[in-house]
Amino acid sequence: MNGPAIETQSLSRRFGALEAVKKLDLRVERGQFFGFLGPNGAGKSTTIKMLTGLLEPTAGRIRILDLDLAAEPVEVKRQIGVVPEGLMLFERLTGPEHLNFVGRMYGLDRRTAAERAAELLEFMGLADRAKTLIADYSHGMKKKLAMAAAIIHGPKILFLDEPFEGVDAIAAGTLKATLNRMIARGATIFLTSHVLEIVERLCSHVGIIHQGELVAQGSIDALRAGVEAQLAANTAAQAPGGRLTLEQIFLEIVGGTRAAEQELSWLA
Amino acid sequence: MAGVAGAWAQAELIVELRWRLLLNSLRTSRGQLELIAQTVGALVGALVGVGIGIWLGVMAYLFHQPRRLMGPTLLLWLIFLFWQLAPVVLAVGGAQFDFRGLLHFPLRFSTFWWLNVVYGLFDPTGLLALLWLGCFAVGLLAAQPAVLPGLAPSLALFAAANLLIGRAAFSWLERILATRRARELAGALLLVVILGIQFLTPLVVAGWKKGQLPFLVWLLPLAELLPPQLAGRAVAGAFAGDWLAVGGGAAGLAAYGFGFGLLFTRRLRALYRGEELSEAAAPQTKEALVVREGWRLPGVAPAVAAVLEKEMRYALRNNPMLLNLAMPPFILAMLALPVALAEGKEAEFVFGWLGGLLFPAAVAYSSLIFLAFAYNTYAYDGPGVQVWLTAPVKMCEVLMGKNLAHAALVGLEAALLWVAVSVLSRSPGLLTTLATLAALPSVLLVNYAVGNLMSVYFPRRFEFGTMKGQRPAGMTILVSMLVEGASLGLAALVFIAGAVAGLLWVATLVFLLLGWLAWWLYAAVLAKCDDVLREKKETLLAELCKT
Repeated sequence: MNGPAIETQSLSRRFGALEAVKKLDLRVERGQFFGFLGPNGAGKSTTIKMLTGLLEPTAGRIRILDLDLAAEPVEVKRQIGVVPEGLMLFERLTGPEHLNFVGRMYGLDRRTAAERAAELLEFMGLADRAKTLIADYSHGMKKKLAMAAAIIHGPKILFLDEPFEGVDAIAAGTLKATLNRMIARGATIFLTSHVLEIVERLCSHVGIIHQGELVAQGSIDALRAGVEAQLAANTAAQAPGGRLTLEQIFLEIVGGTRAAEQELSWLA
Repeated sequence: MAGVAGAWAQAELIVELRWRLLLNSLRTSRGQLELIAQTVGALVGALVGVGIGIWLGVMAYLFHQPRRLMGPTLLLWLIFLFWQLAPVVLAVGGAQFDFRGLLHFPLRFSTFWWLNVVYGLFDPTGLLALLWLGCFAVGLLAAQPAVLPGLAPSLALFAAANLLIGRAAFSWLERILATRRARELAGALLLVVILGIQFLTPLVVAGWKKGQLPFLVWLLPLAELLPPQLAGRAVAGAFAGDWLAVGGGAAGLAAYGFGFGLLFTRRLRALYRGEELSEAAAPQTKEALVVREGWRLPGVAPAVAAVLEKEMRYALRNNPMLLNLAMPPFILAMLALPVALAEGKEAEFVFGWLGGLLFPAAVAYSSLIFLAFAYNTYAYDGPGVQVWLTAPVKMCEVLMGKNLAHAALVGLEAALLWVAVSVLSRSPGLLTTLATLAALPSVLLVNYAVGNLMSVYFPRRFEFGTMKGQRPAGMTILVSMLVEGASLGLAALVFIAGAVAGLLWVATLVFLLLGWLAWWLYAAVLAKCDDVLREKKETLLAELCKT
């Protein structure tokens, strides 16, 4: 079977009266670096939680690598790695203990888990903090460890929820290097981020969710072309000069308003 | 550019901020209930405090005698110890107001200093101590109003010295406990000290009576230099009209105030300049990378073995859990040792027929303590709980690993208790040991079956190494009490019947049968756990991943 890496059909999630995700039809091809964007509260985290089995959908279907998540959850989980927003770390273990443990949970034998844990700690620059409890790690170190834990079993798809939030440039560099290496080896990456510059630099394709609905999906170039054509057709709007950035595309699609140009005369 | 607000205006702003926070907290029913609970607590505390204050006043009135230090000084010791120790105990147990937050604003050092001092004066323990000192003064003045000129400055200096000692000690304590590791260590140390005092007190009293502890007498003159003694001397001087004694005592108190004031100011200066105390800022030493292979447990599935290893590591790094491990043998020793030392008929209680029940009773007691953890099995996982839900394992494997780790700890505790009973009394007989161990599976399995469900339905997140405020859900408490009571009660009935009839081997067989039935129940519930979790995982994640 060679279907898409991720496919959802009418995926919906309701919290009481609030419909957080509405009939989402998402398609991410194998090997794509996919950025899932949206304003705060748009439904990004809810979607990623449903895709990774952390949240039950109210309706709809999820297929991961041709497997139905509801019918074969364990098999799907074997194929994916997850770095959720609230990092899933056992903070009273040391870095090596945590990686070793996660590796074994994903079915690696004891020796392979230990070898990969050592290799990942070296790669992530955490080898010299091997005896420190995770609780004592900085935020950036925790992000890197969470990433290492998510890839220790060599997943075919990696889900990341805001991986660059609160991370310094050095840690972000390590994370990006890891992601690029995975893409080069044919893995699929699905990430959400508010840092549109990073998404634009890393991702080939994006999906934009707004108020629970998928309002755009495709390659960045295709979306850019669409928005530029729309702006050109609309004579009332003033098209910005040069090539549109992802931020401009995003704002045009979700209808975000630019900063009000009030005077604020008291500001220095 | 806006000017820096005056000290009074800044204090007003802080009061307003606290008031608004209180008002906003009342928007939710949880906040309203919290306020009601705090108000009731404050009222009860105030009533008790006023009662103690009146008692202190009456005692001061009755105790006063010229040149006699003993009575009033004892009362001053009470006030001193409360003023100094109560805030320390509260600080180890939970979070305190962090003044460093105020430093984001343009605050003068003098204002920062005064806010810290005033906070010490008007926190509940400070207020109570001040009230008690006032009652003490009123009692003395009622006895002899003419002592006011000597009494007032002495007690004012005593209050100031107490306040500054407390604030200095607290600010240094905050410095020492700035890291998580230090806090956990201090918490464990405090528990050991509390338990140690309870354990040693009867031995010290017995030794004192026999005149075996003369070194304690040497320590007494040193106590003369401490603030309550100095204040007591000044008070006695005021009653005797001995101004030299008043001056000496007051000067000593002033010296305390000055010395601790300097220490306090030094700490505050460091904070004011932006001292960072968290772990991340601490100098980092390089550690050698050693990754050992995980535990290999023959006959146990790899995922279950991994869970068991993680659970054991967690348990052995958790102070409350370690305390629970240490508590039963400790209580056993505490109960048995004084009786054993008595060397009389009382000792027969421990060494006689009832002594044969000591081991099963101790194991039952330790099981009762440990089983509380089985009813909230994800409590210490925190956001790590997501690993259970995203890894390719079934929840029944996770729960089995957790239950196995728990059972291993109960087994370890039973072994410790066997040794403790053997040392303190006599070795439990073979039949007693076998019957006790045979009873454990039936009790544990029934509780694990119910506990696994309760852990999913009513989870509560617990903070590591903290005892304060760690309460499971009300429903969990109720259900666990019922199931633990029923299972342990049934085991006790079977055991006692067997022991009285002299047929402990029959009791052992009954326990094995009960164990088989309990296993059946446990397996049936375990098989349902994945379905239950599918329905309830949002509750679990919401509770354990909350920040």
